[in-house]
Amino acid sequence: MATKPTNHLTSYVGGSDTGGVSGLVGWGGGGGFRSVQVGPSMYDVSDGFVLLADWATNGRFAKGVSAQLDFDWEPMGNPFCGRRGRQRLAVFDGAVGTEEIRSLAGQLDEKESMTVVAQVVLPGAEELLASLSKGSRIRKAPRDLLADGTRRAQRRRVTTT
Amino acid sequence: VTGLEYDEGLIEEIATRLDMRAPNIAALDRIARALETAVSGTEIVATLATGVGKTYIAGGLLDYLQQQNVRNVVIITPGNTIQRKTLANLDPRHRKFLRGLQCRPVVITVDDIKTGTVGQALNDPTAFKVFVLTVQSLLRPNTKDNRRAHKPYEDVGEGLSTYLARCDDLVVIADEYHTYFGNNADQFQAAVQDLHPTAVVGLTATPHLSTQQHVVYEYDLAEAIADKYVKIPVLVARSDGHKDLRTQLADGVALLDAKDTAMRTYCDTTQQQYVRPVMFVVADKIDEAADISEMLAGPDLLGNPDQVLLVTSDQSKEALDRLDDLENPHSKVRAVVSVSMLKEGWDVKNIYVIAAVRPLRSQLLTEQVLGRGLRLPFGRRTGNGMLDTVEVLSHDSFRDLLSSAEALFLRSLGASAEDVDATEATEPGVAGRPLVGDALAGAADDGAQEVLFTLPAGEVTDEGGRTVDLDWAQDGYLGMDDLVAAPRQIAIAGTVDARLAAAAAITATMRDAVVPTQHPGVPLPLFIPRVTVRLERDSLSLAQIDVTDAEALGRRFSADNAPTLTRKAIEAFRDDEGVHLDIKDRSDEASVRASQTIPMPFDTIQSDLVRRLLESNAVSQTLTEKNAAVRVAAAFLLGAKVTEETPWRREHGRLATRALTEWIGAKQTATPRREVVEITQVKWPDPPEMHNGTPPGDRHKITRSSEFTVGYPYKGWTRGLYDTCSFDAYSTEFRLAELLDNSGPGIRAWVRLTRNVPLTIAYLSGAGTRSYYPDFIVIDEPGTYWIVEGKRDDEMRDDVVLAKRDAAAAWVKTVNNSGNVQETWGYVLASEAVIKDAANWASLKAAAQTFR
Repeated sequence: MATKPTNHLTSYVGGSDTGGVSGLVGWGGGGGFRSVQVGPSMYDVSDGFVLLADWATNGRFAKGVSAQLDFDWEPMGNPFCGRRGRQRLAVFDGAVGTEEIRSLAGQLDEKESMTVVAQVVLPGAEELLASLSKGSRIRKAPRDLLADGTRRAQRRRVTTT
Repeated sequence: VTGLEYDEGLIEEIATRLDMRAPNIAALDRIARALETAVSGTEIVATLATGVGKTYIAGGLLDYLQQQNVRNVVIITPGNTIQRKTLANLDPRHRKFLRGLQCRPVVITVDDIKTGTVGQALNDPTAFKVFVLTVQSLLRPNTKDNRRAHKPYEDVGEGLSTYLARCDDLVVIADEYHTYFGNNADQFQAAVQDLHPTAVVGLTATPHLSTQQHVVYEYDLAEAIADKYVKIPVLVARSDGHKDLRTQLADGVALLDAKDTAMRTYCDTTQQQYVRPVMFVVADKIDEAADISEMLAGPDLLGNPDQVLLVTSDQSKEALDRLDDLENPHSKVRAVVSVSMLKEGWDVKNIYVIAAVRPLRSQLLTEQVLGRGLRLPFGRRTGNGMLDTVEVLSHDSFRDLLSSAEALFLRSLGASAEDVDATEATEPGVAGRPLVGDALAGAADDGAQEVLFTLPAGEVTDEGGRTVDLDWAQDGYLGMDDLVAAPRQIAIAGTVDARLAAAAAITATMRDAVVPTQHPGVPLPLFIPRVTVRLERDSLSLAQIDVTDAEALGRRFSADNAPTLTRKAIEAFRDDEGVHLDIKDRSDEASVRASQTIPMPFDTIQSDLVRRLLESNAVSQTLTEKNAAVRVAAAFLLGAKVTEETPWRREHGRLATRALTEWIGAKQTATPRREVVEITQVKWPDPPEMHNGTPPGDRHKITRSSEFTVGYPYKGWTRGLYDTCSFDAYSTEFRLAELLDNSGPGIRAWVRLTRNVPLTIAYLSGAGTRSYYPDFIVIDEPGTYWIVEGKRDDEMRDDVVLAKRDAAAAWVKTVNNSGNVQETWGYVLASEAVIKDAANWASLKAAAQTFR
């Protein structure tokens, strides 16, 4: 499906297709175009439920989240992978619990905070993080990402390469 | 809407996301506190010195207001320049965009009121709208000039000001707040009051007297310089005072050339984009400015008219464009000559020399002039003494300059004269003698060439709020890297010759790379172990859950909630909104109050429960889990015997979800998990050479605490891995280094640990872990590395010190048991008394606590 408009444009620009608008305005080809590959969405919709796409696992999930939340991609080692000012991003492909939070918070510098994104948030993790670092947050993907970034998501599809 | 509930966590989140500086965070915090009680037009003013970054306060405030559900904000600017800058700050495509800003507002100016997007946003109560308006467009229409802001616009069919006045959540942010209190003050205030804002937040560097009582936060220039957010002003004079304009301009050009050389060397060695230093000359009259720019273009000075930019009140478009372009790498301009003071908003970062035709009085050091030269081109101090300073040329003799210095500080920098300490700079890194009272001016007669002005070191407190001895408020102890324990420099006064000599010394130091000393038996690079503990947990999928268990849970749920699930209604009552049925089981804590009369249709109960499960913290939102959730929900409802007849309400869905997620959560918490300890090795130093912008002091010249300077590089260490090191404290670190260096052949080499050395140890602190950065590594026998820490005597029983010691002891054990680490590591904790009594490394090790 993606190739069809490209083929058309190629023939217009090359001058081999002079029908349609080209014919009407007397354009015999020339000029050019640029094609931008937009990555697949990180989300699937099934029976009205927004779900994480199957491919969105491991590094690709982290990269997608980093792009969506507008962090600079900076894979410093699991699970830290992004930075935005003094805020760091930690992405968990699975569950995040109190043990992980305790260890992550210890790796923050005094004046840093973090956004933790996980697919499952275990009991107690949010409370512990709030007590260890006031400016830090846990986000469940995709639930909180969609709520947070709905407006942005409309303008820009989440792309990963 | 009045009163936005103060949210400290939100401020911290915003502050880290926008990478805000401490004073800006404090200002945002005070503003947020004041907003909590703001009612109908409360004025809230924050005063911060030029160059600290007020833009970030405005940006942070926008994010804060957006998160607090404010939907209408007006930003007032004093003119087009600042309006353009503000629009750039809010535009994600612009290079001046405030990185990290999250609110993504619909930005509206008077010019685009008519476009469709704006009309849509105005009608959309959820859109976050930021109106960026110049004060001129806001002032009420008068007979001469009907202001555009008051014309009706198509989509809403009313004037913008009418729309704004109707908003019940409007907050006004007024940039450069002092500028609105001149001749048009009454008009301005009337215009703002007409908008009926909740609050008016004014940001300024120089508060107008009439707004003084509304100031909630103040941060003056002296503090900004002392805290290293801006350049240090250097007052430069000739010993004999200056005679003529040409001499002064020649001095300016010589200093500019010295800055340029320092900049090129710095950018080459650190591989950064070159920033061209520029001189800023303030003239009295237009003809004078023209004369100066001609003189500067002459062959004996800059020698090229393209390098001089004359900006007068009748500014041409081309001149203004070149002024805007000043920071561009391809700009040729090296000197800007101006008559009127260039106003706020012209905030380039590459002004490095300031000269004035009129004699140096306090007005030269006002925010308007000095402020133009204060911003740091790399966003922070570089450690290079030429790039962190702006030279301000004085007409006075050096002696007169020194005698008037204190008055200048008082008026221009906001520091009180009695707080400012003056010391003569002689030997690098050796604190000179203090100059008090008449001795200051007299120093010039005694041949002083350079005098440093400092504020006393700030008070440092620990987490418990107790004051900490400055010697001990170091990295390792508090785990903070930016405690300002050293005296804080706010200005320098020097002769032209002394400044040129300083520039030459700095550039020479910068060119010479500091390389590691070769010590026998200490091959480089070092392999430094890094211990990380990772948690692996088995994932729990809903698919693993036995549906029979879910059914059993449903049975239990049904029994617990029997009264509400079996009875149709307990009470009916009527209020303004109609008849409600109150279903309540008073004996059960989990009571259900259904304000909704009609139970959920049976065919939606299951999908509602699935949706709730998927959105809960306990279940991941994937296709596998969704399919499993359908099975679990069906089994649960089967167990609960939910049929068409059951009066199942939304509240039941919520309670059922809670029962299920608690049950799943307990299973998840119980899934097996393992701590995986990983030991990796990091090569250091990499690269081995370091460049330093501060000419090092001689370590042998430091004989007591009062001569020592915190963080200053000292040279002359023979057994150090580098011959130049800096220290956070004298009585332990510097003394320990002396002991190690003087220990003879008992030591092969020692390494002063800084944040550049990748050696950190995680230790337990309260509910979390923290990173511990020890002081030294000592290599005594080949292959034996000791981590060495010095502590004050009364801290040897401190919980934090003990926690760090225990963590280090465990670290040493872990590392030594690793098959990959080739060296043997040990840990030494020495008290101040032990350090004092020890003659050498061997006796220190014998008396201290050691682990290996």
